[in-house]
Amino acid sequence: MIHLESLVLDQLSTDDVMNDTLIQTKNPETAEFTRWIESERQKGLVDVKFFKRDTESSTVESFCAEVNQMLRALEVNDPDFN
Amino acid sequence: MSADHSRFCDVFLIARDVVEQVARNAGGSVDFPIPVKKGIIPVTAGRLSVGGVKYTIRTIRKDWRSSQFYSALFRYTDHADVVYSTSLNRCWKRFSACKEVAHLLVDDGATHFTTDVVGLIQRIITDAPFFEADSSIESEYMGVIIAIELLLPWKFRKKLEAMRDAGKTDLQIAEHARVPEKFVNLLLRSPYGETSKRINEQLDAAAQ
Repeated sequence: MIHLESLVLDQLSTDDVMNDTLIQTKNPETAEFTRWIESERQKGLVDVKFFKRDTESSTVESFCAEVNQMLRALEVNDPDFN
Repeated sequence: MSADHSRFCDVFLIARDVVEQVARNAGGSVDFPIPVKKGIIPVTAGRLSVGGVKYTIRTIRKDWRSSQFYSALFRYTDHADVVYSTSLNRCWKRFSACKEVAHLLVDDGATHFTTDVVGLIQRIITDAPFFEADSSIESEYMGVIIAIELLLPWKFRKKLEAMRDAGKTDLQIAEHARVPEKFVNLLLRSPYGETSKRINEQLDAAAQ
């Protein structure tokens, strides 16, 4: 039986691309966020931090899914914040 | 003096200095609730502005339901975005913004910036002991401590202790200071409060 993922990976030449492909195949939310990070680094992003909340049942993929949800979410005016 | 103790002294000094600067900008005095958007954030931006180039810090409220994290910081070379959720109440948004801004005050690129974001998330979600030196996760914890020292500053510690000793509940004190209740409890009724007090008293003594 031909293992499709192995076939694809065999054609890749660098570790970076290989890792990216693995992430995209298995963890699409993580891949989306890491792609966004790389894109923002080109624009001068130098650091990222999070203030964790309830992560007892989190996975990297679920955490990244929420990050992606935040990045896509609409900005809302906040006149009360002082 | 250990490296950790030295780091605590450094960040406490910065927090104290920021609060003093907020007071100066407000005409000489400041009281609870310590202003964040019109106090701590502009003071922090001013400290990061060098050579006439203004550093900007944007607080961005986004419409997503916060579950696994309260807020995020995206730090760029010329500006920073602090993103927080619409689902946070006023106390949590103030504290979350301060925790993120704290990184801008005390983190430096060589040792504290997150280079491996997925690795940072792995450590955040597992709470597992980490065996390699990892300054990005240490920095996450330090950010919370600085936020406490900014919003419940040393200069008002006696006032807070007096409220506690007079029988005020954590919630009543938290409502007065506009901070989440659990950080009042941490400061006034835990070993952290004693550590904070000891370091601040050492800094007072050193300043005389």
